[in-house]
Amino acid sequence: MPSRRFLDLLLPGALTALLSTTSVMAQEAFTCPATGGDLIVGIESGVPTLDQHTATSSATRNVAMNIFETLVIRDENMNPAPDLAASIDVSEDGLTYTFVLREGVKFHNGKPLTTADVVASFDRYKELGVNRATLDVVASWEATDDMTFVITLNQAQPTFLESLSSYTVPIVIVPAEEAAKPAGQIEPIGTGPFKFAEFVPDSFVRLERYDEYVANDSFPGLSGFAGHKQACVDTVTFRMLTEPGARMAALETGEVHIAENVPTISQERLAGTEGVELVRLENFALNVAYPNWSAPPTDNLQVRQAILAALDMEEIMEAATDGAFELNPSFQFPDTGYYSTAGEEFYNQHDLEKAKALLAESGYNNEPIVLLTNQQFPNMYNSALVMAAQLQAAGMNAELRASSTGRRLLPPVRRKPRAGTSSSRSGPR
Amino acid sequence: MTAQGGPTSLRNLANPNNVYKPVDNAGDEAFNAAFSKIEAGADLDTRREAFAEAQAIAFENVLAIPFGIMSNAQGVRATVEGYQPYYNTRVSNVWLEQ
Repeated sequence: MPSRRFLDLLLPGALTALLSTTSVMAQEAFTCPATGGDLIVGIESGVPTLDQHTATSSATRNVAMNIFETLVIRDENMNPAPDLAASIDVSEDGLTYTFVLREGVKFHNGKPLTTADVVASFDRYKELGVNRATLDVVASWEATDDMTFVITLNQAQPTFLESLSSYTVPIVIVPAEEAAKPAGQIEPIGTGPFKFAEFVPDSFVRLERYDEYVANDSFPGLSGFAGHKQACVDTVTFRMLTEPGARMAALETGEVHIAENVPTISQERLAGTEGVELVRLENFALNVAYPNWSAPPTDNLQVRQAILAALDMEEIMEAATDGAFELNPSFQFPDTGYYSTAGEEFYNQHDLEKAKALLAESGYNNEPIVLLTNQQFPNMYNSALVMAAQLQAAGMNAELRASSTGRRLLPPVRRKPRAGTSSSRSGPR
Repeated sequence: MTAQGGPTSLRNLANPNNVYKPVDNAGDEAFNAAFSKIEAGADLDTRREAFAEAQAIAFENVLAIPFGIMSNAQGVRATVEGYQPYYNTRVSNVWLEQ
């Protein structure tokens, strides 16, 4: 069957990525300049589970993606890149994707990786993976031999590899015997550069270097979630320091080497602290709220439009980030391939008169509009707090309801309808 | 959420995973049609056009309310080498000064 190898992935720059991947193979691969020690990372949220198939929490992913790997994941430029796959071939008709596994890869329990594990992992993800809709377009998958895994689609979907490589809730490959276990009950056994060592809930997770790790030689070094990975330190301890002040104090005193999410208010002080460097990711996340269409009053389009009309995004983002933000009328980051400002007339209106007029037309009768948020991520809580005040100013009966956990509040499973909106940051798309 | 590309960033608004929970999980018909065009578009320009159409519907019918972009700062001790901020806490290829 005619095919194209890891080809026109239809993302901007995909061809460039292919060419650069080929050219870097001649470069010297990364080797650790020094080894040993315990790298301690102060993380901002509790880790609810290490079952990556079933968890939307960014805290889970931050730890788990050092343990697990996928067939295909994103590189530094957000393009799909092979991870456990040595090659990816797509048939000319776009219906058949053939993945050949990298040689010599073993799980942390010593078992060699084969396509039986890939099949079992995909079966599990299809059953209970959070983003299992990614696989709706798939007619079947099969292992044609120990190293070859074939996916056949119902219909050609040019963006399939882009979907498959999403790291929102990635399809990590676990041993077949673990894949049979229910959600939240698998042992965290992967193929990545670090293996699981210890997990004390609400306290820490510790990983150890996996000495038999087989790195991906297609890359000279890290590239996004992909690349040539090596564990240089003996252990990594992820300490759950959810209170920002405690996390910053631990960084300043050297109790932790890395501290996640430095609050804006602490940045100036830390920038002047000897022995501490601040590193920044500008386009880190979109701050988003999701309305609930299934119950009144937000099942009413005019009520939802009134909510949108009332909002002052600058004030919300200022409260959410202490100034570390950019306004952005899009679901994409600027300078990315799909970026568009279509619909921007509905963004950041802060038009209370329009909101009130829409409410009057809608028949809104002061029903509660509940804003669901959580207390573990200050940006979400503060966004909802300001949003509630703005909606109240526009004549809406807005109420704040905050959970103590940082889980995304509306996972894609059906729940009992509840009116209002929820805020999200940690569920990357 | 992180913008991982057109279809990925809007998939949670399309059937069957529409997080805005439409009645009977029916979803916004116009949005679903536009989203299908993103996934099925044969070339990037077609998909970009469909993305813009879907995004406009998402704004107008309020499928989601994006507030803005957050940056993220992390603090790193000087004894840590090789660490680069990313959308995940990557501890590979990171070493401690001896």
